[in-house]
Amino acid sequence: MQGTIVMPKLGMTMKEGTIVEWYKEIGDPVAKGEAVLMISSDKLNQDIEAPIDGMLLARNGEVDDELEVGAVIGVVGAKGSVVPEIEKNASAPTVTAAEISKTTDQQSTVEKSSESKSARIFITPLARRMAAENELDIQSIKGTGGNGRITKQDVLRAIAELPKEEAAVAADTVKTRTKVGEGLTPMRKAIAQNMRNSLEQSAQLTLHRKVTADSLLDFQKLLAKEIESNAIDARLTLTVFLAKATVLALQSLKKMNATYAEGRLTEFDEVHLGIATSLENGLVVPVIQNAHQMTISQLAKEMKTVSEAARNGTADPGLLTGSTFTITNLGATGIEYFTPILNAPETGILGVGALQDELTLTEDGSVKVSKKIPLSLTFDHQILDGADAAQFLGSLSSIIESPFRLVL
Amino acid sequence: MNKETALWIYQKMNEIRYFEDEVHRTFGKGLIPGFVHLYAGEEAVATGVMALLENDDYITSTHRGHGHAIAKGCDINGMMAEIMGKKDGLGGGKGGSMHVADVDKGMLGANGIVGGGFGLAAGAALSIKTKGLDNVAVCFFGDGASNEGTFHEGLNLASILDLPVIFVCENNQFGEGTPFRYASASETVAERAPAYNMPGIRVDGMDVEAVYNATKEAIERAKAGQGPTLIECDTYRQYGHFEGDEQKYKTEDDPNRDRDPIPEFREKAIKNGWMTGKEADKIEQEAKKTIEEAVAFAEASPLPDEETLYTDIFA
Amino acid sequence: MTNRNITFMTAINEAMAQAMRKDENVILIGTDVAGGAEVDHLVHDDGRYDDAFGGVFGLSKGLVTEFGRERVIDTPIAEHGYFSAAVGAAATGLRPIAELMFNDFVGFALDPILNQGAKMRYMFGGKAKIPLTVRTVHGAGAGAAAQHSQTLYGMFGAIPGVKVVVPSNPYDAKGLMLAAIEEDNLVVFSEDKMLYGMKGDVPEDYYTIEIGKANVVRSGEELTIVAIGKMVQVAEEVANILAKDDISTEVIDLRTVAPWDQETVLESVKKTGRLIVIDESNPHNNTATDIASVVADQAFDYLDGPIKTVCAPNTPVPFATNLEQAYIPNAAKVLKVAEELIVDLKKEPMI
Repeated sequence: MQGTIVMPKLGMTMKEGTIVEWYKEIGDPVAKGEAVLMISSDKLNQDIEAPIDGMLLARNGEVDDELEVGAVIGVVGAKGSVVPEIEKNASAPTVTAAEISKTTDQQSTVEKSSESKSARIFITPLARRMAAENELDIQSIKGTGGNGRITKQDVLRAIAELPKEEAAVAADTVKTRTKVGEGLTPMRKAIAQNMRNSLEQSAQLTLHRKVTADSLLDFQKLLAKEIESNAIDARLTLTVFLAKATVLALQSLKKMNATYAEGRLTEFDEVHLGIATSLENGLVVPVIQNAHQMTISQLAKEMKTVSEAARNGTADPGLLTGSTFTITNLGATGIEYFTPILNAPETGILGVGALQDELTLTEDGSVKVSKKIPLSLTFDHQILDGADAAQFLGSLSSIIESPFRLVL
Repeated sequence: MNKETALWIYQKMNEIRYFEDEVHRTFGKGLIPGFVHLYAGEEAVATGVMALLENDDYITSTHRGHGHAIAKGCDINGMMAEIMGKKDGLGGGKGGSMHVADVDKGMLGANGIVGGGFGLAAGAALSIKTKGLDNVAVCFFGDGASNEGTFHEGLNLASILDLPVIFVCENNQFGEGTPFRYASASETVAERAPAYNMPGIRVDGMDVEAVYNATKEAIERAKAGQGPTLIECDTYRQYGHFEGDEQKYKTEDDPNRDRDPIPEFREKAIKNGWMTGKEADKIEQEAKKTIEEAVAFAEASPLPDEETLYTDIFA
Repeated sequence: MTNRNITFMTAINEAMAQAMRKDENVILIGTDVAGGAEVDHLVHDDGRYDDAFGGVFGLSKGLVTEFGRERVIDTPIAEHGYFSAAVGAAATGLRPIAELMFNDFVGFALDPILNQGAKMRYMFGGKAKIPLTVRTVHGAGAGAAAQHSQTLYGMFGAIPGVKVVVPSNPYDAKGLMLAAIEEDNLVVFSEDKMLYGMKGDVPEDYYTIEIGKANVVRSGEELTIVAIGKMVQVAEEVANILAKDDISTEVIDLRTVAPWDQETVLESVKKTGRLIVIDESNPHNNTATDIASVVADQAFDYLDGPIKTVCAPNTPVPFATNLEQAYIPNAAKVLKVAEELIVDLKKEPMI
């Protein structure tokens, strides 16, 4: 019985190691686990131990010699046994061809590639990708394509032949999306799919900011009076004002009023505003088409119409798609901040929390009670950066704080 | 012209005529692929010129090149086999009617490109001049080719370099299906020669002797280092532009339509004592036999081996 | 629309006639496009002309009778001259169709295409347009030998500023010809002479087919064959043979060689994972190699086998019939290269 001492890999990037010191001469007895030599990578020194009890039969290299990872450094075996000839940098059988091919030592690469020619695996790009996705070891797949190439057919066959549990896992990774929502009611299933899809397809990040709403609330009261006197049939809720402010803010940052899907970013001039609306058994997002063309009272009317239609289930399907940005308001539930999930493929969604009373310092240093709206803006970090989102929240806040801009 | 020359001319004229008539029939039987352009009617030009050329003189030819090839001494069996696409063809069956050639006989090829020969002939003459040889190159071309830019480039180049080349225009009245009188702004091709500072002679192309005499003079000039000559031979093609041409452009009044250079020469040669009637009859019979044998040879020849598709690309 | 069963040649003739009726700036120019100029007996009493040729294949027969010699212009055999003139006329308001009798003659006509027509707009900063259609003829199979049988559309297609169209059937020939004439750019319209007698249903009305868009003539799941012109028939023959082995082949008729329809080809290859391109050009630097290169780049991760091209060999076109047949790509040659691609899909070896 013989055991080889192999140059270990001491880190992700290590390609070769240097012999620092031999502790044993050829012929010295060694015990399993006993240090035989010290090697160094570019950063670390490490003792290398004997793999079995016996005698050091061969040393493949002297101090300061560099050997690639996986190369045989020495052989330990029974006294008198024949030592196989070791080529410089010859690899131990446990080292894979793939690892060897990474070496920068050109001479040895050439030797290895000719040596391991029969072991070279031919596989089509598609099959290689599928195998990787299913975490299959391509060495275990039999190729039946031209030139013994592993093809898609072979990978599919390999998946089919996996032990059942593994196959289920593999199949899952292929078909995850179609299984989402299975066993749920149609609406929940749709929600499940949308939510999962959204989180899979985008890089979501939420920023929070508080905005002072005192001026807006005064403005709301003022307009409400005006509307009453003009007998306009619409309720001017805070959401209506926030929607109008959002429309204005969106027009100054088109990337937020956009969709990103199938590799295509589409920025819109028009704002079609989605209003997330909770129902008894779920959630829908009716859409205010062309919200950018509407006055506050038109917006109010339209929001009333669409949300009623959505709640009654009488909404035309066209009313529930095509939004370019969505607002979701959890204010009524007392929630302050949250992390809304993007209404995919949109690049932004604004979450509105419950109005908060806060003590603030006025300009003259006195303390007063002030109304604050907590805002939670989720955006697709693939398309926008934090600075973009902060800019959007900033411009939204400044509109809310100077509400006359809503009617200018 | 002497008796020996006249007999040779009469033999070649007959070989050409029988050859072309036979190709016409064989094409009609569907045994010849592709396009075929027949020389019948223009025999006086090829033979009148070639009677004065030696084996080491060069010619460039045209798509209507069978007559030039026969007169330049190409193997008639090999020509017929080539035209039928057979293994024993001059080009191994790879060139066909439009590319009949035998460089060893100084025949630099029939040519599928109208106007393709001007520069080639000038190049052959450049070789002759550079090597100090006592030879000439002859460029045969049609009236159609005289309107290609290459005509002007080739003549000008040959003239400034004083190359020993003779440009022989076979004006058979039509460039493909268009009359020369429409396609050329000048009334003749010959009158363009002075623009390139060379003599331009227009001769009766149905009269071998006229062609012969003009060529003789041109060869003397060329060999004396006096540069190129342009000879325009007024002639007529008996068949169409290609086999299958309806020839709707031909009229009763076309020049030379009612003439045939072969009986004309027979009569003249007998009258001048260059040939007897008996000799003429014998030549005609032998020529006919030569062509019949050529057809038999070509028909018996196998198709080329398929691997020859891939050979002869590079030297 | 009334459909008639007419030949490829007639379809092109009809397209030219309809374009000339529609736009008086359309002219046809070339050697013997009518033939018989100044031949008295071809002139009718009312002054109209008959043609002697109507093109060397008779394709433009009748056009001179309808449109006169002012618009159907016979030229001397002077390709460089009249192609230059066609480019000059196109740059100054006419919409010429210039015929290059055989694409092999391009040697004499190339400069006006390569250096003038293709580049003027670019060089002049967009201040010129060259609405020129170059009608020409390619392809082996007629025994026309080395200088009358080449397939050179790929060479034209390599020139920036030139669009190249290669129709595969009478319907496409008419629609693509009308589109080519409408184009404000230099379009080479390359006709395979072996398709001239092919018959097909062609609407009588004026219609165009979009240049730059390929036609999926047969949809399939496992193998994509892209073919050009006459080779579309070969592709369909192969698809039928493979169907017997339950192999599903998608056949794409490229229709436009430059700029070719990358979207359609890539979409197909992403679906099937396997690609064969059939192109009668010589095998290097041609349309097939260009397609292979783009697909290898853009669809690498979708490929389930090597991209195969089936082309003519790297030789001139031979004359002898048997050699010429060996030269032209056919179903047997395609099946031979397909074997390596589909061996994993079938149980029995195919050939």
